[in-house]
Amino acid sequence: MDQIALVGKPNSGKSSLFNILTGLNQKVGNYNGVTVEKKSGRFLDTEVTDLPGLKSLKTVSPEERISKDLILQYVSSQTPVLFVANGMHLEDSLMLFSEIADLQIPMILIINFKDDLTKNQIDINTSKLASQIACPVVLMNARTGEGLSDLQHLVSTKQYAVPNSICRSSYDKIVDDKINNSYISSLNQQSVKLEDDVFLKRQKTISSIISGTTTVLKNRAGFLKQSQKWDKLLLHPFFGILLFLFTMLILFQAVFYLSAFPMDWIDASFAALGNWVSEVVKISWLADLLSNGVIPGLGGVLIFIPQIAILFLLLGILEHSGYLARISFISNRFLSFFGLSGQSVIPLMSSWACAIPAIMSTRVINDPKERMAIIFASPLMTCSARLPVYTILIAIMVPSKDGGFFNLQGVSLLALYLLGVAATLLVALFASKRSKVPSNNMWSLELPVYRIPNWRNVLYNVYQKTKAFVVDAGKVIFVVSLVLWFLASFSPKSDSFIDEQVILHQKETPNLTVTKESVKLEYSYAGYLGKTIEPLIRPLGYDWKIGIALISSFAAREVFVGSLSTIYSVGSEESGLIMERMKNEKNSLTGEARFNFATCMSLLLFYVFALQCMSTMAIVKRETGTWKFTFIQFFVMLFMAYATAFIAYSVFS
Amino acid sequence: MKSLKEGERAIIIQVNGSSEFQAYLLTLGMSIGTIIIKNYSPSFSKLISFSLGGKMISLKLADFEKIELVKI
Repeated sequence: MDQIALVGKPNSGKSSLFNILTGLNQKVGNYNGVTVEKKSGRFLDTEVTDLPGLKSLKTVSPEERISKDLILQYVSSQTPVLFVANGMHLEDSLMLFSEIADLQIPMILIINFKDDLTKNQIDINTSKLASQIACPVVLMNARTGEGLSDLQHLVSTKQYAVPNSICRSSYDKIVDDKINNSYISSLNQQSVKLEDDVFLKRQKTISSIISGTTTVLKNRAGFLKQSQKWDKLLLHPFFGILLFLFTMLILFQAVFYLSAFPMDWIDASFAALGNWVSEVVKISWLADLLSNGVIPGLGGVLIFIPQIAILFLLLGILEHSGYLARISFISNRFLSFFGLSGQSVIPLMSSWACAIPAIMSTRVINDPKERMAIIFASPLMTCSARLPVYTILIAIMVPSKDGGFFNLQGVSLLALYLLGVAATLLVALFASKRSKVPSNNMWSLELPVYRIPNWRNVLYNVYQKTKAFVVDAGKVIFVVSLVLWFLASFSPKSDSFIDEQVILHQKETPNLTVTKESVKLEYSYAGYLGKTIEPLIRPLGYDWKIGIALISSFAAREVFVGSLSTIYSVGSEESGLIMERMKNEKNSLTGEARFNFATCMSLLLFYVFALQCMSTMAIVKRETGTWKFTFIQFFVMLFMAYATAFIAYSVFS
Repeated sequence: MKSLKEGERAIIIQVNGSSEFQAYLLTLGMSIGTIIIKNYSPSFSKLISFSLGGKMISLKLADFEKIELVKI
């Protein structure tokens, strides 16, 4: 299959174009050997790869270097490049275009944001521009798809062309009467004098091309005015910060409020499905496996789709509206107290979704010291995998009644998120103080103009991220559920031994209802495993059943709820909602509720601090190149989790 | 530089600092002769925002001070 690559500066509308070209036919993976996200998809009969945004081939940031290295590979493979330029800053975009053109790669120039050009009365003569740069030019609005048919025609007929070089000859050297060009090797060198001259030559030539092909009927500065007006409010030292805090409060309230109904519906549906399967399937072990193993386990994952989708939707709106960059701006000073800068905001906020893309996105941080501090601390931010654990424990311990204007459960969730933020910042401060990595703190922030979000892009992102959660977490949870069902359903002891134990338990605790299922679970393989670690976790208020869920969730945090769901399904004759089962679970020694306030607080704090995600550990190792860093991180967080959970249980019990 | 007010234009006449910093500014499209317009930049953020070629860019105050400008 033919290949093409999408290349452009950040904020050029590349992602919109990629989405409109490939639709849902996208694959998200990593580039070989590195953990930078690679998006590819199919357009006509061609595979399109969306490269990370790039400011210049002279770039310094690790993520941009990926794009640069791939573009350099295209020199030999002659892979065509669709270069996406932002029409509103065409001169700036053409600087990068001309750098790539000097590599003599076949290209098509796509001038995006046609709607903005029209609104601001900027007219570009594309045929004249195409003849001047010797490359096909398409004027597009990637948000609506306007101009797509022109691009389709060019790609289907393979009308790519190697554009005119502007500065390649500046790198010509005559060696032994032969011209030797050093442009490619110069891309990894820093010669300020030559680069300054080349930059000015490039700028002059591009200005001349643009002035000959573009008519501006209106002052272009007016384009930014609306955003600059909003900035006076949103970047204001008092109102800006107030609005930011208010936005965060609304975000977490919305995650709880909007997801309540669909979550209840999914929970009830899975309970009903479990009942139905146990009645319909006649093979008893299979019915047991499905209704007590697979269905509760999967239900424990799928129930959180509404919350995760809503969280990504709201974060996507913030990003696509241009507000996320303003959050970087207003938080810069505050973050500087913790050895960080505003550039850490995006990895930190990405951690609310998942620590893995967040750690990957630290590649945009130029300062190696700050990057290491963020990699170390960001798993403490509340990721979506913690959400299932928080949601269910909050629902058990906090009344759902309104506390005045706000929902108390929503406020509790916000408090946990804030605790995660506080822990992250303090650990980042500690890590940057202790780090011996050299510092390089050059940083710039582009403030994009405010826009109404492109819903297609936002929803694609929600779909991709939710799908990744369901598929990636679902696979782990499915396997863990099966293993747990096996461990919890089979026992090394005989049936007669179990029957004897039931009678014995009934005599010992006449006030409690002892069922055969609960005793069978206690003497199952899982029961023995849980009881082995019980002495370690008893000071935290956990019994062996919670211990099993705790061990299984070392693979991934979200497994915790699925595991409890499986364990309580196996150990109970009743079927019903997981939350009800947890509420009804009794402490076998005291007869009181197992999930009382002290235990719930202890569990919540354990999950706030513990690094229970094998995938995160693998990514940290890959990004830092050392297991030492990864294990220090794991044990520091485990210590914090154990200590805080112990204190919480001691105080509240 | 500090006297530059919001909405005022200035031309870059000199860039001080390391060669890495100068090369970094080139990737942003900033060189001697480049014209910038200062935007609203509240001092609490320790960032300076300016318009350049139709884009709004912010630099750390400490970095921005390495750039010598003349108001035009």
